[in-house]
Amino acid sequence: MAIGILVDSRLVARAGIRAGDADLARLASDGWTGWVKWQLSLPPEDSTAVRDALDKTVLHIEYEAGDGFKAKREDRHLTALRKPVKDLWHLADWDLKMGYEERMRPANELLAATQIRAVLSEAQLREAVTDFWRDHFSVNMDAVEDVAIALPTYDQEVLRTHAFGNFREMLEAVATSTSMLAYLNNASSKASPANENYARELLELHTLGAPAYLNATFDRWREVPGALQGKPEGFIDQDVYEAARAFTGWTYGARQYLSEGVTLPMTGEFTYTDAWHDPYQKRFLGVELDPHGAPLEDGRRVLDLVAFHPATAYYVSYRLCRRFVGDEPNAGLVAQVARVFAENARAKDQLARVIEYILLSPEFASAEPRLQRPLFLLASLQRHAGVLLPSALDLNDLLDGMGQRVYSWHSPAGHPLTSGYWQSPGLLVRRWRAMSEIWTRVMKASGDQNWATGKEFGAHWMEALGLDQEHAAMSSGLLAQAYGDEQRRIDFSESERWTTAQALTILSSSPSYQAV
Amino acid sequence: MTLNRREFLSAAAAATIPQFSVKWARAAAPVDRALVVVFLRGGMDALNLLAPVSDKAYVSSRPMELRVAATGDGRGLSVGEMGGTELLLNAAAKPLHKLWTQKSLAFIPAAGLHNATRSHFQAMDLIERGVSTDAFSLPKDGWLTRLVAGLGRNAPGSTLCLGGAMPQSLSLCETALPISDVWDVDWMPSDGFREMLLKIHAGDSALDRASKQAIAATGFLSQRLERDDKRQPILKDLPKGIAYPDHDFGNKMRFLAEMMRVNPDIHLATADLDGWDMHDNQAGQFTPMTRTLSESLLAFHNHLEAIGRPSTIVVMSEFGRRVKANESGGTDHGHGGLMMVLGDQVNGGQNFGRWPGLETELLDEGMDVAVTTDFRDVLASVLTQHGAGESLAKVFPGYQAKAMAGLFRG
Repeated sequence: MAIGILVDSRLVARAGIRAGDADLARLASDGWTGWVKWQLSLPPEDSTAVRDALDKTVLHIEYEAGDGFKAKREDRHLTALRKPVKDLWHLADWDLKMGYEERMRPANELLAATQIRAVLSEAQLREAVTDFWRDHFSVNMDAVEDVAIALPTYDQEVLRTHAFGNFREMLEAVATSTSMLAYLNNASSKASPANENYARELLELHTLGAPAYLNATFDRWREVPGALQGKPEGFIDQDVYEAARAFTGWTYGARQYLSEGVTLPMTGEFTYTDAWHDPYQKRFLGVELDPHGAPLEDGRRVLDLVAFHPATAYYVSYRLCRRFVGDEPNAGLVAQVARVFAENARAKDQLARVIEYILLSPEFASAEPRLQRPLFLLASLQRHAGVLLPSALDLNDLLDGMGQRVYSWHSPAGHPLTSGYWQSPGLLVRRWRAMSEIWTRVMKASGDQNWATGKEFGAHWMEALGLDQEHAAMSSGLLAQAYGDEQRRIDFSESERWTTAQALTILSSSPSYQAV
Repeated sequence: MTLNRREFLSAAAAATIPQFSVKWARAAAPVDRALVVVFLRGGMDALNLLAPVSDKAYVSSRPMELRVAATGDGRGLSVGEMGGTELLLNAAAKPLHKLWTQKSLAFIPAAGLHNATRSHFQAMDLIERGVSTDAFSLPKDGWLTRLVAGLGRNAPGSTLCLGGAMPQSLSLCETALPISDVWDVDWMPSDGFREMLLKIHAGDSALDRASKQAIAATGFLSQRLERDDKRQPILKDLPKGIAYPDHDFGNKMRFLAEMMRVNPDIHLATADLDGWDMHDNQAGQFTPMTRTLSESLLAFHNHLEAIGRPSTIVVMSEFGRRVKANESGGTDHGHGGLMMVLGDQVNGGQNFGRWPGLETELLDEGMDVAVTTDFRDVLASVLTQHGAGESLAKVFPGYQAKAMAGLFRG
């Protein structure tokens, strides 16, 4: 492999998951810039290869008999992934008796599909950026069942579809999504007092961000610099309260009582409920909102004001740079990315342009390697080994252990973006434990008929993992330990399998593999 | 009752995995006072736990299900008064009432952070750094990190955090170890594996240092486990009369007590109980959470007493919640909260600080419980008791922390 492509293939791992044959071919013909543009042009829908794999996938489901339902224990195909929320909403009906695992099934199918996409999707940049948005717009499937039931739609239609799109459009897709409405409780927010949960996190986490939260400095909205000109530098609690009022009535149908004989439909889909809306005038970020606006108007004005605020351009750019470049990204880079974000605020491909700018920056090319996220580490190992592990819920537990709780992070802030979290000593222990388990499964899935001697086996993995000469002596030492004599033919007995998994765990625990 | 997924999984796991505890090697060295900091993440609604029932504004601000009842079946448990305001403890916190009446537990109502933030993340960040503003000159590491440094307690495995991640209070601490269960301690497959792992992390990057920290601390703790002839950790039951609730938090506290028995060097530990951010349907969530917290604290306290580990347990949250409930049956982010201090030397059965009152003009920003005790004054009392009085200026930079008189005996 030419040196240039080798370097570029490292960039692929940093931006996405791992370079495969298609990526290497693209790098060879069009270079790094070409790879980025190609990735940004790939559609949000699953490729044929991913779709075929998803169609073949079975995921176990098992529960005991209960009041009104029988026990179940079967391997079942994935059926919820492409269903709209309304076709899954019977699972949210507590009048219907069913095993609890049936209610969690859409979320569990999504978690299995997320892993399959990470291994097989050609559009790995979209997988990585979607994963970024999962943290930026974090929802927790364990908080309430409604989040989990609507999760396939949230992941596909809200996050993956808008991942390279327009931030303002994405924001409204999130604000009207069943999962977010359920998670941050806007679904139950009524006048008055409104529920402030969503409004606060919209400002602090999704848009202007914590650096623009000026409550400790200013008590009144008019004190915030720029507020009297309708351009406040940041926000305070008074803005949170007004935004919360603006979103009252934004909910989804779940048979809520409105008045005698009137309930919302049982669809799980977004609906605006005028009877719950606080109709009076509001002042948000120094801008007056007239009383008695048209349906949805207050909330949409708030989304406009936050999406186009300069603090949002800065904050979202800062987070993207933190995710893709480094823990403390260069301030000049962030400012340039924020400029691209703001200049393209109304462009359909705003986020694609932002991401392209980051990935083509010299700061990205020279970034310090950091630990790969567990979801992509697990996918990398499978990509390198050329296997797809059978779907199982406990694969997700391994990710949990390594610190990546996909759609189960405990707060709306999402996983930390910085290294300190991922390489805490506790999570490193979990990472090593998980690696050993993953290798055991990978070896089982890859079969053993192809190997002749321990030496050949070792050479194969050294190459597959892209490890250099520095690791060769260690590899040979480990394999000698595993097989006694590395010229001996491998018999793959249980103990030999175990020792081999340990050896591969160590080799792949090397920072040169773990950090990208 | 409906279970959420986490509860369901933990119930399912409890049903299939045999319950066991690990019998640890008997500690030989003299034991040391330990400090355990429990953080209630999400903003615990202090007004729903310890209620100023004689304050008229309390009753008028909230629907009945978000209050502690002053009469009737679910009547709160009496815990005295504060400046003439009668305080009742939520009936679901009966184990805490027991600790309070046996004088092991003290309440510090209206304690918290002197900063106007109502953000979880900012409030936790400031509290866990032991500061009250984010002035650039203040240190970024955790208050416990500086405590460990001040005490010079750097032995591997002597500071634990329950859970995989390092809490911010221990951020940048290069000796603390986050663990969740015995397999996090006893995970190293062989000595050869350890040597190889050390070899690939021979460098001095942050990743290499964290790796060495993990290998050293788990190795040290695992040596102390008592084992059977197959080298498996030996299993044993809990001391008589002690029962932890069947909940992740209960399991963690139990594991911590067992680790504290096996390793007398453990002088500091942190644990989190998540899920107090109840903007919605609070009535359905608060009671079971309170029960879990209270039962776990009682069991942990008694467990430590049974194994002879003198200790202080501090319970805190990033803020209390809004006095007035919202229309979703929940409460939004507030200000003054509640701190609790529990332990063998605590001057319990009393309430410390000053109750600020709930009349509108007495509230912070006209809507939240005011903070009358800085959280650092409570922590300063605890640190003084733990022999770290000299370190206060370093642990709480830029603040003249005042230990509270009478919080501890003697």
